Amino acid sequence: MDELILKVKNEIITALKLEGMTPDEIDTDAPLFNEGLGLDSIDALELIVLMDKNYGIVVEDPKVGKQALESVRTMAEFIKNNRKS
Amino acid sequence: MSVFIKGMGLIAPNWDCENKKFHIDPNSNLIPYLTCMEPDYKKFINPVAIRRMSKILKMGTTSAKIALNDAGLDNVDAIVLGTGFGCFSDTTVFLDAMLDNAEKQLTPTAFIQSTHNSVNSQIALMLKCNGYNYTYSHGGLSFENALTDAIMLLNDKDAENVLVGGFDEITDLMYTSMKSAGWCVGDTIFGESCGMFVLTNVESDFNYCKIDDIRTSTTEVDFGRNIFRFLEDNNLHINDLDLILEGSTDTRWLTEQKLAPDVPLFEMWKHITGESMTATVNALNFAASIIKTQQIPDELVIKGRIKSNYEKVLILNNFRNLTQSLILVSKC
Repeated sequence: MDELILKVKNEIITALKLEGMTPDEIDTDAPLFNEGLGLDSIDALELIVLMDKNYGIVVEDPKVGKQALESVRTMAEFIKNNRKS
Repeated sequence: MSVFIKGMGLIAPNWDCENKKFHIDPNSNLIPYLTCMEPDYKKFINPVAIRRMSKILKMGTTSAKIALNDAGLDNVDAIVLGTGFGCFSDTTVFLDAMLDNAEKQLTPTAFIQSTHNSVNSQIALMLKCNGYNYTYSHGGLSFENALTDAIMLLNDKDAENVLVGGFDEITDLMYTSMKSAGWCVGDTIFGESCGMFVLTNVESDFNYCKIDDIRTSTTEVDFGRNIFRFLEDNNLHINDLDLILEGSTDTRWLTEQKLAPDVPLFEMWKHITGESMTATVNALNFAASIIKTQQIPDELVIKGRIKSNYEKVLILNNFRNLTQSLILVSKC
C-alpha cells in the first residue's frame, strides 16, 4: 500500500503541475480539496482522468468519486480495490 | 476627446521587464525565431494560480499586472486584447491529446486554456473585472483593432481606464508551419511578445503620451500615399514628425522611396522584436517610452539626424504585405 501511495503522490504532482513539491510534503491523510493541498474542481476532473488513464477506473457516480478523492490514502485504496490495469 | 497611455507592461525578446532594461541581442541564438525574456512569474502572480497556466497565459497576466502597477491602478473598466494565433501551444496540447487518446480521457486544463480569449478571461479573473471583455483575432491587425475599440470606448465615455494589448507566442510547430506556408520570406525573423497598455481619457502629467490617430488597411494599396493622406488628415506634414518607426518584414518603403529623408527613422524594428501578428505592441511601447523619457535607447540605430525633442512619432506596420497600420502618438 505504501508503494501505491507514493506512486499516487508522484502522479498527482505531475498531473496537477505542483512544481517544487515532493511526495513527502503531501500529507497522506489530509483533505485534497479546500484545506490540505487546496485543490479545486478542475483538479478534481484532472484526477478523475488520471485514474481512468493510468488504472482503467471509470468513475460514474459522483458520490463515489467524492469519497475516493478525500485524501491520498482514500484515493490509493479506491485504486487498489477497483484498478483494471 | 484625447486618449492617453497611462501605464505599460511588455514581455518581449529584447526587454527585461524585471530590471526594466533593454537588450538588443536576442536571447534565442540556437533557434530561428525570437523568444521572450521571461521574468520570474511568481513575483507577479499568485503561485497557486500560476501552476496551471501555460506560457502565454503567464505572459498575458504578468504584463497586465505590470501595466496596471505602472498606471497605479488596481482594476480597469474594460479589457480589450488582440491576438493572431491565440493560445496556440495549449491548442496543440489539447489536439494532440485528442488524437493520442482517441478523443477520450481528455483533461480540462489544456481545453480551458486553448481558446483565443483565455488570456482576457484569466486577466479578468485575476482582477475580478466584470466589465467589457473582448478579444480581436484579425490577423495582422488584431492589436490595432483592439486599440481602435478601446479608443472608441474612451471617446464615448463608456470607460475611464481600459486595458488594451496584444499577444502572440511562437512554438516549433508554428514556426515550421509558417515556413512551409512560405511566410518566412527575405530576412523575416518571427518572434513572440505580449504588450499591455492602460489607456485613459483623463489627462495627467504622469501619462506617457497621447494617441492621436490610428488607421488600418487590408487591401493592397500605395502605402506611401496612405501615409501622406493620414498625416494630412491630422494637419501634419511628414517633416513635422520627430521620429518614424517603420515595421516591415522585407521592404524598406521609406528609405527606398525616399519619402521622409529629413525625419529620423528607426527602420525595421521587427528585426529586433520579431515579426508576429501583434508585433505593433513593441513599436507602441518604444514610441511611448521615447516620448515620455525624451531619450532613444543607445542600442536602437536611428537613421538621420537625431532630434532633441520627440513630440510626434509615427508607427508604421506592414504584415506580410496583407495588412498595414499607421498609429500617430504625441507628447501630452
